[in-house]
Amino acid sequence: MTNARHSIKRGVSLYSYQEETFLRTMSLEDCIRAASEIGAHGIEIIPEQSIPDFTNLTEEFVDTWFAWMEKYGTTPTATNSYLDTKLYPDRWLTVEEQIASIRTDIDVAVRLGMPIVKATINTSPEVMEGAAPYAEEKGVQLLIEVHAPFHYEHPWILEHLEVMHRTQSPALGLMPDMMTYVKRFPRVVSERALRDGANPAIVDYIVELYDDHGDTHALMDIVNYRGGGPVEYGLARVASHYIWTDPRKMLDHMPLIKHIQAKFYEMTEDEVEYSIPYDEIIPVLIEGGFDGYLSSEYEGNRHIQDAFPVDSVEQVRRQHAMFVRLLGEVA
Amino acid sequence: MGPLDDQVVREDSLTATADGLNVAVYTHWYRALPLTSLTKVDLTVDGQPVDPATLSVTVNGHRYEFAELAVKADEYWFTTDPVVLHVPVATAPGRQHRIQLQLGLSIPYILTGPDRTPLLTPSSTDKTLTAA
Repeated sequence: MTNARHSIKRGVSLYSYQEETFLRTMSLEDCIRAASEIGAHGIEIIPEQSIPDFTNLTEEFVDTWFAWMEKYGTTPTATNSYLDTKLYPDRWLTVEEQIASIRTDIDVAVRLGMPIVKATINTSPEVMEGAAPYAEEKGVQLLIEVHAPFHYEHPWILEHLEVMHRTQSPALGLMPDMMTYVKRFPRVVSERALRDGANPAIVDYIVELYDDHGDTHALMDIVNYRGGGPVEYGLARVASHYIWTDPRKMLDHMPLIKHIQAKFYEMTEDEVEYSIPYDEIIPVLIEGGFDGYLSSEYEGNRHIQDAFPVDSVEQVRRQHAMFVRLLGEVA
Repeated sequence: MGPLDDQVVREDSLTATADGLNVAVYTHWYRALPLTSLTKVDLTVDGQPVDPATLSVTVNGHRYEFAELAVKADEYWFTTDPVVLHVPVATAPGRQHRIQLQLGLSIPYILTGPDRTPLLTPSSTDKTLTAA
């Protein structure tokens, strides 16, 4: 849906429904229907998660896929590629093999009508450059995910930007993951650590340091100094991987930003994300003229499933209720 | 720990066969992984450790010796399909067995530490189940 102020569209990565997929309470068709029912008409998938018998993409599956798109009024938006550099126990994939792997992912995307392939953050600038001509030939955009703790001034991302600016390839771009805008520590994560037996004083220390946007570089060392064990150390590691940066930094790169992974951990009953301030992010996307999809990526299940029932459908629904509000959509 | 340890070995996972016990095992990772990722299967049945060298495995309708999985990079273990471990222990339908399984999946795109070691995501099961 669009309005006069912007052309931002809404969608869901079916990764969001991984709990129900895993427990076999939702089929792939159920996931597509759930997205469609909340007006999230853009469908993103992880082929390795959603395609039975992957890597064998059958004609039957492709036909069924397009029949579902028509039935539910949905549109394929993106696939996620993985660079399994340690595919073989005894050696590493060569750069040529890595490029070939991306080419295969591009072929899968083309067959499913996906205009975008996400390149996982471990994809090197050399591999992006090597795969770009094939992506151009196939009319697919290959976007490097900007995933915490990386950000737009990080050397790894700067190298990717150098390739994009030097080659001017229309196939290359960025896919920001909203976990780079974790302003407040996700309580589902700290509460899980407490349930796993973490020392409350150390948990408080980690959460307060994060929420004050303090320096988390040596946090894992500090946890060791304070006598923390594996659970506290794990929490510190997580805290040093989330980041909060100014969403306005995206404005400098807006022509390269083609798709947003709308990561979230907890949508409250008030339809607000507890830790990621979408009310600060979406106005920036509108201001920058972003016209791609906000694609939900729910990742809270793993933090609550030990103690609470997971309802990914409701969590995604709440996120889209928030998007509708922030995008000014009129029903 | 693994997020979905409960589902790795399920209530209906055990089947008695003429040549031993079949144990259906499900992945706890969110995407399909190449069979080379199935690197650690520390299985104990009724308190007796099972040497992986004696295990064979059926996945996607193909039966392999466990050691053969190390070269099966082009075949994937899908998220909702079981891998069936064929365990050479005596059993019969209706018999109970205590199954302790430490499953380790080597994640080929998440590399950690100075040696670029793939993340080994563990899962731990300890259940007493009845063979069908």
